Amino acid sequence: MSDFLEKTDEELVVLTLENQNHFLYLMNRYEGKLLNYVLRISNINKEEAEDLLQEVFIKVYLNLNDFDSKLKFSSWIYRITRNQVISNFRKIHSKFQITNFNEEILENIASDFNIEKDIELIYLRDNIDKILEKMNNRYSEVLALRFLEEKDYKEISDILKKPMGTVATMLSRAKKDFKKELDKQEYVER
Amino acid sequence: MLSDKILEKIKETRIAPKSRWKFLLKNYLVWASGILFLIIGSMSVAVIIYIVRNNDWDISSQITNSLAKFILITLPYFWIIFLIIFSVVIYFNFKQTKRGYKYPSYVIVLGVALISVVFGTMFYNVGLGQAIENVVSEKVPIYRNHLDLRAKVWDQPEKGLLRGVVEKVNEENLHIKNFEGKIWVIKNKLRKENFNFKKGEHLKILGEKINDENFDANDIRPFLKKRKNLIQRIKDKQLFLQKDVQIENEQINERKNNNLRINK
Repeated sequence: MSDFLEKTDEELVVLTLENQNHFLYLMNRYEGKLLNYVLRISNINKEEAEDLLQEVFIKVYLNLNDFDSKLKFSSWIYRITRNQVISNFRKIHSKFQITNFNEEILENIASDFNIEKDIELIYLRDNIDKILEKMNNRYSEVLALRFLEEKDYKEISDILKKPMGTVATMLSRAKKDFKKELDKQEYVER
Repeated sequence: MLSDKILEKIKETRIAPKSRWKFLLKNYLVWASGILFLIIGSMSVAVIIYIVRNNDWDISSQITNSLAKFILITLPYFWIIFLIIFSVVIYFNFKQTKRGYKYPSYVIVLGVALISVVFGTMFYNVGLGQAIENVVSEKVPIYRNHLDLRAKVWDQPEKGLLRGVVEKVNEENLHIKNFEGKIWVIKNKLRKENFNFKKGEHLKILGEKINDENFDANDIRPFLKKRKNLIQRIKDKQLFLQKDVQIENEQINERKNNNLRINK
């Protein structure tokens, strides 16, 4: 068992193709992360998110032979999850909604965005949902991947299927958009 | 746990990963269709080069008084649109490949343009541009009569520009039928040997309209240049070289004979 825990995702993919039981290790590794991701980028409840995740894992299993080993497995599975969430949105006519922030993530955002004042951080904690909701979906999504899922540019590029340069531009615009929205909301509150 | 439930479901429903060859086949098909579209796009580049190089530049001033206008009315719009459509198809096709998303749009666009121009020039050099234009003009009447706007320049008898297919030839005149089916009698203002055309030949005529049936010709030329394929061109070149060698040999022999005569 511990042997398998030390294996890389890519090794587990190869092993799963030989024996389906090994898929369990891959699922265990990603179940929590992906469930959080789904809950963060959608406004569905936990049960619905679990149903969606079940579809994701079955899709991943069916398409294991299509996995490109030059890609990180995590990027691939996040991409499939994202696509499944989008297709679910289309079915239920819902939209992206970024939620579930913890203190650490807020501090990450605050430091990256040069939000240093304590008052602003408190304000951010109370209003981040509203700010992200007001933002363009493209930008809030890229912010979620960067700060909530802590993905690097290359991974975001592979998940969204966009060139790295485009990801960098999107992130920079997203930050500007976020700051603008933050200032606007603060102004309205005062 | 959710993962256990899913594994159970996979086992119960006996789901198995799709075979590798299916994904490989899909991947190869995407690439093969991309290459095919690229070849078609390059062929249209070859036709565009051929049309631009063989435009009636020598009589442009007789067709219109402005060079810019001449270029505008004789641009091969059909083939340009054809090329744009195929370039868009290639672009989206490339984006469908496994790593196509990694490249910025401008890199793909420039790459497609560069490859099309390189292959298009090669195709043009082997005579493919001319061959395609000739075949399409001859075999596709809708292209000849409606889509080839460049050809429509020659449907203006009032301005002294006429085109049509030879119906009848005699010593005095030439009967041609335009694309609407109207017969024009072309008066022989030219030397007789210039009337050496065959029935069914597609011609363009520069001259002057006399009345609704008669036209005075100043210049008659085939609508399309006769195609010579690469083999024919190589043969021509060989013949030319052979003639050169023959002439050189004759000159050497003549010099030898002269020397002999002097020595005697």
